Amino acid sequence: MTEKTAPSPAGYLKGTAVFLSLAALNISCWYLFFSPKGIMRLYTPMYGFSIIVVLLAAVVTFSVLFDGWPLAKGAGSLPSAGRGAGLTLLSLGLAWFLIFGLFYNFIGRFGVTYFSPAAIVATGETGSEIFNARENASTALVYLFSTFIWLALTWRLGFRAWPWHEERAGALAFSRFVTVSLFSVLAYSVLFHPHVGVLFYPPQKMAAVSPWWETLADTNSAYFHLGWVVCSVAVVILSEALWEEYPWRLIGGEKRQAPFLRGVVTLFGTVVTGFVLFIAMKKGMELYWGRPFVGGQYLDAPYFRYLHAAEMAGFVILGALIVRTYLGNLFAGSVPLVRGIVRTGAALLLGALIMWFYYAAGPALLGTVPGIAQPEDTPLCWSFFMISFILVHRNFFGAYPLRIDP
Amino acid sequence: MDRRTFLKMTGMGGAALAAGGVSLGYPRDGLAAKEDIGEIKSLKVTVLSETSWFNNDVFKKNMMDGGGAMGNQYETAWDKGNSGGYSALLEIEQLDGTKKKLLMDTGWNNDWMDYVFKMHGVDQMIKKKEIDTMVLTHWHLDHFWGIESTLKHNPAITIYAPSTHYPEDLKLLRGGKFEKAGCQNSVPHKGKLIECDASKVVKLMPGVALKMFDVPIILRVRGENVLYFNVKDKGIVTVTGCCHPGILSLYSFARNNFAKGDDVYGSYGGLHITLFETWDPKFDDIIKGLKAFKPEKLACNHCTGWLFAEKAAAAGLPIVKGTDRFKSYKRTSSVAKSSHAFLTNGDSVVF
Repeated sequence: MTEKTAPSPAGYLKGTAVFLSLAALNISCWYLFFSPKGIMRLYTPMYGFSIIVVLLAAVVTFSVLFDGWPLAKGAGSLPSAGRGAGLTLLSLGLAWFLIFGLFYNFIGRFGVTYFSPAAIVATGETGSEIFNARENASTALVYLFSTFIWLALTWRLGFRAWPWHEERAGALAFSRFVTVSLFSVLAYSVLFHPHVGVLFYPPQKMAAVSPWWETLADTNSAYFHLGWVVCSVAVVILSEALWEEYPWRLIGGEKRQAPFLRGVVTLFGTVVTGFVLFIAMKKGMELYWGRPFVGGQYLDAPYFRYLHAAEMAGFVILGALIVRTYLGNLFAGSVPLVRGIVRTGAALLLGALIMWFYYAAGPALLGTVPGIAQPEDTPLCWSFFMISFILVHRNFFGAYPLRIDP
Repeated sequence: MDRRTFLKMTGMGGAALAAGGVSLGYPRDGLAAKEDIGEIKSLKVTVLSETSWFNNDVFKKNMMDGGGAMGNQYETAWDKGNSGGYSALLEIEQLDGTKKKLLMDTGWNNDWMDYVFKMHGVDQMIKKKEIDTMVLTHWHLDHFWGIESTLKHNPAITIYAPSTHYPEDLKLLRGGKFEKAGCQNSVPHKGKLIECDASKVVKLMPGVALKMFDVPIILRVRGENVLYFNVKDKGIVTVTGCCHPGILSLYSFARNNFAKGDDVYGSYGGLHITLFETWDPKFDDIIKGLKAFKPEKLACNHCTGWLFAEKAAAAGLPIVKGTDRFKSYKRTSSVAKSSHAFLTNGDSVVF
């Protein structure tokens, strides 16, 4: 399937069957590793959430920033299964190294305490036992790597290979990785670090400012930022997967000149569009549930509304990736605007269907608690896990047995 | 087109989820008209036990090993030696001077609850039917699993409980045993079980209302009963087990649904905030929100966490301090060093 050739009815069926098989594999893995009713029960929730976010960041690193390097297509005689398995193992290894090596045992022990559960416990401060410590360290990792995923995807859409487009694949991969990491640390320190600084008692005022967005967002929680960041990621994914990179591809013309301008406009454009989507979702929730208020909890909490905007954006991302990967982007005719609208409509419907699935079937299939706004449950965790599976399948295994141009 | 119709047509929200039997929580319409629940003269709350467990670290390790915050409490191996329980005695004086006693919750460990009930004479009050009604706030282990300690004195006691129970809850209530979790009840309940759902407010007596909030709670539990009292010349008082719905949501419900509900006087009970001695930015939101309601008496304990009580008091909120009564109990919490931050075992408060 490519976006230039619409699939036949049999193609839709095949794509659907392949997706359902992947979803079944995903739910099996969820049961094994994360489900509160499963085997390892890592969804505590933040510990499991952090593992999934870092895994997704590793997958994004190899597929989006590295373009499959060092196992890029054409680099050797590796068959697609071998390449897919290799990149999957590299991603798992990178995620393991980042969590348990770099952050738990290096940065956390020798630099920033809150990145290591053991280092937090070693302080002996109030509440510094292993459960809290691991949840707090995991929260910091979730925020940091969510920022990384956002900027990596945005960089790829906006700047593409600029300014290393004439370098070898390895140099390009590392240059993009280091650059995105640098900007991620900058963004994290402003958007999320103040939240993590207040996770401890007393608050770490000399290390982190008080959440500066409190009066703007009616909450001290950085879920405010997580909300618009994930909405911006949704806009990036929609642009890339369904809108054929419109409107950003118009900058610099078909020859893709002015890559810097395209990158800057894409960054700010997707942030603004993501923020509009974020506000629209917030208003929609206010229509149904009424206005939240400062200090409210569950449905009344401003921070929950922001988190839920991110959760809904996560379902939209899933819908977009399914339309692109398993439904061949639906059709190729008409003008780009119409194609984009139809595909987006389909992605929204699929996103709604998956959201229904999560809340209706989650307690039975995923081990979650019935109801919305359970503080210990965020659908983002499972949706990011499913997104990881789709990206691995699409970018590492070429969506086998489907035929697509990733 | 009204807003509900609009949302249904979008397909992104209510319609799809409702079709699948998924509760979207409560739409903010509230009740049609503000309800007058009447008035009482006064309310006295005695803290029978607010120490649901004695060591936080042990409890958290059990919970983590059992599957984390969303694990099934009946499939978790709890350290029985760490269990205590939550229970309170409510003494209500009506405007005409008549008095009525209610038991709120029945704790966790039967040995502990037998000791606590005997210490306060609650065992005799139940036996003599001075207490003929228990309000179960929710089906959590530390509020419910000590049910035998109540039923052994009167198996026919009337129980108000959230309708959102699981089969295991009813099995324990009717006489059952869970080996792994380490709980059992050998005295089946023979009285009325009044199941409270979220659709309506139950008036227990003039000035006393019960409202169930259908919210998801940790350890797979759902729904919590909240008691509202309207104390003459003072205002609304909420009494909670753990207040999982959130104290400000409770105040907001009163404001939106009860006559004179704007006039919040205070609260008793767990507020479910810093129970595990960890902070979160959203807890600062609660302090700010509480100050806006200007309560006059906040008698919190249990899962409120001493951290929150201290920070709230420092921020100017009227937190009722505890006394040394907790030392008269045979066992104290491992965080007893901070027990003066709020009301604890043996303390009482009058609204």
